[in-house]
Amino acid sequence: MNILGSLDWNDIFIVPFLKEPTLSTGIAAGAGGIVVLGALALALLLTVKGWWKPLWSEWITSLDHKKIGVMYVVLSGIMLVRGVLEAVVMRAQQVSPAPGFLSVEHHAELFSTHGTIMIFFVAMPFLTGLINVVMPLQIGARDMEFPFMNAVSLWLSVGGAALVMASLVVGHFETGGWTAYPPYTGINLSPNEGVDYWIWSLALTSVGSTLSGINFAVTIYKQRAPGMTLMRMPIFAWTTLCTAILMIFAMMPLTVASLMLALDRQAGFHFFTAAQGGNMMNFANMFWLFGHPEVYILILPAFGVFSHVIPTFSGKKLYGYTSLVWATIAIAVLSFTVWVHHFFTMGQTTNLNAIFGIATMTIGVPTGVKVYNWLLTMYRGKLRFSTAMLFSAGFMFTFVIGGVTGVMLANPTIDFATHNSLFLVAHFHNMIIPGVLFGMFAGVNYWFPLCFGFRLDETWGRRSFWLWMVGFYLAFMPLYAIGLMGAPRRMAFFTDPAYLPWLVIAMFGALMVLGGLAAQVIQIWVSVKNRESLMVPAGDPWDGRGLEWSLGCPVPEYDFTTVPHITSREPWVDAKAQGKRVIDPTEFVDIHLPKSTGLPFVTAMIATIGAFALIFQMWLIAAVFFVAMWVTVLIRSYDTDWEETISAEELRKGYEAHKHLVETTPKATFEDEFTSKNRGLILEEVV
Amino acid sequence: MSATMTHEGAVHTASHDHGHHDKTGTVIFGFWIFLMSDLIAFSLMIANYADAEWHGIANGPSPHELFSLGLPTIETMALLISTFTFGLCTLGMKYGASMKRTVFWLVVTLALGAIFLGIELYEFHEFWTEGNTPQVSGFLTAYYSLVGLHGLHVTSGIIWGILLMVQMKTFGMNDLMKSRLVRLGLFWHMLDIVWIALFTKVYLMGVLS
Amino acid sequence: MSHINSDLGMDSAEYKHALARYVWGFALSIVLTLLGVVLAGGGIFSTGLAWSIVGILAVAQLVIQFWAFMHLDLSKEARPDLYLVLFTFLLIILMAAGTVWVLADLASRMGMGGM
Repeated sequence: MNILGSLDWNDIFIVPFLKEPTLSTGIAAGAGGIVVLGALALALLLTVKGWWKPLWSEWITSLDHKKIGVMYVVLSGIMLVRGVLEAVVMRAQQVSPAPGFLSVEHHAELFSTHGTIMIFFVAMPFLTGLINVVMPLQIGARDMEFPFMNAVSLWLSVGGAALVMASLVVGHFETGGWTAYPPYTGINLSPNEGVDYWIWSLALTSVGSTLSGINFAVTIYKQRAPGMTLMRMPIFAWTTLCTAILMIFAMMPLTVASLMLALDRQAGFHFFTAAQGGNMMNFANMFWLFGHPEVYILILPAFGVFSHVIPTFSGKKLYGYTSLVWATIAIAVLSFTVWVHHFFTMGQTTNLNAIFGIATMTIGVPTGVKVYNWLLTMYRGKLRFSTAMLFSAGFMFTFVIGGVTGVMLANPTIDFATHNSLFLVAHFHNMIIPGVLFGMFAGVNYWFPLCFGFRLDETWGRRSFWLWMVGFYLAFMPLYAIGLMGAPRRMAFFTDPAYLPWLVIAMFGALMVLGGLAAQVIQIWVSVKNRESLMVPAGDPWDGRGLEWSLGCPVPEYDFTTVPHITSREPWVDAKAQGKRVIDPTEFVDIHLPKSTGLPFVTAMIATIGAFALIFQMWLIAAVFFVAMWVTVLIRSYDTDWEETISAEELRKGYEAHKHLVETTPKATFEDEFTSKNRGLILEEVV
Repeated sequence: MSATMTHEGAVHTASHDHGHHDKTGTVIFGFWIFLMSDLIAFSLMIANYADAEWHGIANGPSPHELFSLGLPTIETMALLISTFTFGLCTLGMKYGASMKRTVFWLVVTLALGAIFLGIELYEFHEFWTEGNTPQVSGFLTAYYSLVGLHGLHVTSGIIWGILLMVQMKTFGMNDLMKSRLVRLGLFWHMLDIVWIALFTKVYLMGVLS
Repeated sequence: MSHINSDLGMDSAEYKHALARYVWGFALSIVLTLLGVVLAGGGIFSTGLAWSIVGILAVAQLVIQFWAFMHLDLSKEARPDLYLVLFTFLLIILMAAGTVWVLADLASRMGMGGM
């Protein structure tokens, strides 16, 4: 047995190009080169600046929920760049004369990685990161309930993403789309390591997500501040709770289906094979048992973000809190009842399709309720269009269009005509780009000061919004049109000249989206450069309404000097109405925070190497790393010195320092909200 | 609330620290959630099995031809007794039984688990040597993976139990060990509950089919 | 009351009460299991009827074991666990029964028997 399994020289990214230099292999080699050079450049930067040590001691080993959240978002940002670039390459491919400059396999790899990355390594880490940062601050917790496990989740996600990146350098990714349906992804039709990359990178990240779900749910259940009943919880915490429940129960079908596929491929089992009594339709079934709740895992946290951004920048209480909560719960439960609408055309009887069609239309109702909640929150409010608010407004407008096409697709008869067309592609991008990305962007712009103490640059923020917004419409409205004209999805090229004008528009849209992403990178760059003038040391720069804004910016490591007693839904608004700018402390007591440890990182990296070994069938190495992974868990189980203490005295000092800052910070008015006069704690102008 | 003392190397317990809530209870609740997530995996495997048993026989044997009730019943009894002995173990522990007694019942439980596993492997071996490997049909694939997944859980339960006994020796019977033992207990009881479903679906209903 | 410690000893009435629950659970499980084996192997009833009874016995044993060994009941302490388990079973019914339904429906359209 070869210790290196199926790995050989041809798997190294540059070799195919050297053997057969074409534009297609050149792009593949270039992408691999960017990954390698990027890693080297990063390593060089860290060495030159001497940042290795702080990176390790301040970040990688940290169990602080805020830092873990930031690292999740950074991961998501890096993967977003790759995902958008892939989209642009695909759009360029489809407007160039047939058969285009990419080989068909290469194009198939691109749409497969694009989908896999965008769902699992952009959307999921983005929302998980935002939840990590904000949710504990909103409910008055000092950390997640299981901080160690939280770090394990993070590093497993990073490991999964690293595998997808590795597929650019070593070997290939799969070509069967992000859903990877067998029998095409079975060993006969996809003999190379591509599908295994998909299986094992998803296995790592879906275990991470399941653990995150458990962590979030238990944190919300057990760690709320005294007096914060469930119906006093901020909406973001509610949507987090529902997302967490979906993560706990819905990741499992994916794990089961993908591991079954692995057994089919490597052990000759017959779960989904076309012969010997395998049933490939059960893969589609199980995949969407995961896949549909997944859609709501993605979208609920964004709904939570909007439910905070919109009231804040409308200067009004959220309209219809109770109905929003129940709508969220209804969506979470109903999301388990609609999965068949992803495969109406697989061959079920009409009655079965009809039932799932009706269930699908039903789930549109609570979603509609939410849109009315936000609209009525804005109604007669004093609106301030910050970047976060622009993204929220853009979301509502765009999301409703996507929702309408969704209700169209929920009708099985229409679905039969549009299934697998670009109409569908336009629909789900129309849901996920505003519903997830706009929400997350709004959240980052809104909550950024909590982590770093300064606001993000508004000018570049607004530019990024308009580029994303207009770019989105240009990129996807044409796809609706040619989808209805009959253009199928996942085509490497089209020969019908009628599609071309639309595809050209779509490509310009994709370029604008890329521009929007560039504007966001510039936004961060400019903000870091001008951070002195963007500082909001007193906290609460937007006249916020949630508990998280009662803390300074950046929030101290221990979050709360004393955990407040909650008596209403908006305790911070109540405090401010009484003229208070800090919440009165209760008694200061010593608190315990989790000690930093590198073990989660080590465990997850060992798991990642083991997964890499599995991809290339290095069974011995995989076995060794599997055992090693559990040894690290065992090591942790012997470690009982988990916590460090922060003394009551230190907390009292922290409180007094914050209070002093608040009292000495000059007040600004709403007119100055986005200028350097806003040092936090703005007040409504008294006329 | 009073200021709490720091304590080196100590572990969190239910009774400690007013600033904290009941950490043991929380960890156990978190473990419950994990078990429920695991239960979803088993239920999907059972659903897959139900389909494969129905439509996936191909050229292989049917459940009726493959299964008899003798060994599986003995196997089931072993696991059933073990779940009871684990109950005796954790119940005694809670009411202040000696470590010796706790370890005794744990050893009995794990030994019964090993018997269960031995019978299962023996049966696998028998089928295998008759040529009924998982590669033969969708039904056999589903059978080996469903029963095998449960067997893997039992195996990890046994390994966990052994490691826990080593730790109990090292740390003494402190609250952390008790919490871990209770969680292993929940895991073990859950495996027996899963086995009820497997035994009924695979063997009893298989013989009836 | 904590999950892992009791102030009372093994001679307390509370302990004996708790022990009785385990013994009951164990005894009922044994009876139900053996009953199932006899019904499946004995050929007393028709196949269809035996199949249904065996299924009901399994569900009964499931409930008994949750009650006896995993301490699920209607008490206030057990409520979070109980809700969790009930919700899980709702999802299991949706997912597992849904899977069987969908696959059987598909099979029926391909001449593989079924519905």
